[in-house]
Amino acid sequence: MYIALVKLTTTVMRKLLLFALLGTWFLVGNAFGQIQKGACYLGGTISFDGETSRSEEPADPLNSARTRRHTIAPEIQFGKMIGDRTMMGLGVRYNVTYNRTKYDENDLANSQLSQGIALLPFIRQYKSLGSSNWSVFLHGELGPQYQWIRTTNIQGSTPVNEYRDFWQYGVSIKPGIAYVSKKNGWAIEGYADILSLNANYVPFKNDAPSVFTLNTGIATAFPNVITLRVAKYIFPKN
Amino acid sequence: MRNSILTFLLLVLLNHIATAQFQAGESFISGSFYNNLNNVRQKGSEPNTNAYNHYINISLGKFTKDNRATGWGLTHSLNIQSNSYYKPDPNTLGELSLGVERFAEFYKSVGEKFALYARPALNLGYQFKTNNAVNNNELVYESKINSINLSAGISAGVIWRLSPKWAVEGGFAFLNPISISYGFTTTEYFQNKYPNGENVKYEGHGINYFFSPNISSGSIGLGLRYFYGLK
Repeated sequence: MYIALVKLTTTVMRKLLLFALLGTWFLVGNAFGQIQKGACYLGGTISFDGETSRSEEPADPLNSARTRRHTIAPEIQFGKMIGDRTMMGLGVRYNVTYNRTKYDENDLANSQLSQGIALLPFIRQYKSLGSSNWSVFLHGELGPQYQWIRTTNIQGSTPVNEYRDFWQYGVSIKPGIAYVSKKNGWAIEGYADILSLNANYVPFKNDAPSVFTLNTGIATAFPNVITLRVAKYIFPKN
Repeated sequence: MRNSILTFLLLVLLNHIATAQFQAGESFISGSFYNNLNNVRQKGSEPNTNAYNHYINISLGKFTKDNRATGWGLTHSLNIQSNSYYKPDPNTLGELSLGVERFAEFYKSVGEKFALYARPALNLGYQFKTNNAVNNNELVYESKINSINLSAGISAGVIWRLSPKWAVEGGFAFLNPISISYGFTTTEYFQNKYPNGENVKYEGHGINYFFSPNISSGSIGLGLRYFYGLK
């Protein structure tokens, strides 16, 4: 009962936090225009992870395998303030995953290199919070992503390659909050996916059927995960 | 409630009047505890299930400035589960972890009794974990993983000084961007046997790392703090 109550309170509080954040966006008045029209913007974030491991069967030491997996996903955004509160720009997102498992006993290696690049034009609407360094924003982006995957299986010295690629299209709206240093323009921003729509289309190719997938995400709870980004605003010289 | 949270957030974002609630030289001990027990007993041949977990954090710190404290912390978590239907019985110990952390806390006062804090911490921990797969109530495999983990993170929260000696703290944002761990794994397959009747076993070791700049607001944790060391 107690636990259920705690869980309920947590959910309710998270919802309230979300509405409070949105409420702040709509209710806070005086825009001081801390980011001037004409200011350029450069922002980026990166994440990576991976593992290397080795396993073997003690009763049959020849039966061993080594696995390597590395993923890196950077994203950069360029933008320009076209008004005192509106920014337009372009985001480029790239991801690469390399995955390789080598089985020593039968000299077999499977590897996969998967890469994707997305071009995401965006529009952002800012609202300054009083005269402080904080501002909140709504970020909307729309664009295509191209993903290509190369799989290689090597038994002995004969590689067998397989290649697959597809396009997908997505639109998403993210609310965020930014802390901008007025002195030098450096900023830290956090944003969350609360509304997203992704259409994924894999065209007919090599006898494989075409596939169309649509997924939507909408959440009214306070988002579980907020991504951070470091940015630099280059203010126009007066 | 909604209005009060909105007002609170506005206060947080717009307030520039700082009132010191803490003094350099003050020491404190704080702790938080989470526990969950779920036990199901049924009549007849229906399975009995049991699950228990807890998380304990104890911190000892000292204010080096009026808005800054540093200290050491201990973390411990335990997760136990059982299901009387599974044959053979999987290990009931799901996870056991112990950790030591070095932390710093930075405060910004909001009003007279509340302050916001950010808490960067470096954690060195040991973890024992079991993983298994069950098919038709028969245990297929079970892995036991021993690992050592080094991670850096930041959490943020609010502290409410109730009295000169006591405060309640609530953490609402957790960022755990960097982690590296080394682990040793043994896996036993209960349905595959060697000719001598023993189960097939595998051993492995590996390194895992990640960097991910994501804040999670997964749970809102409450803790209690006792101050001492100054009048």
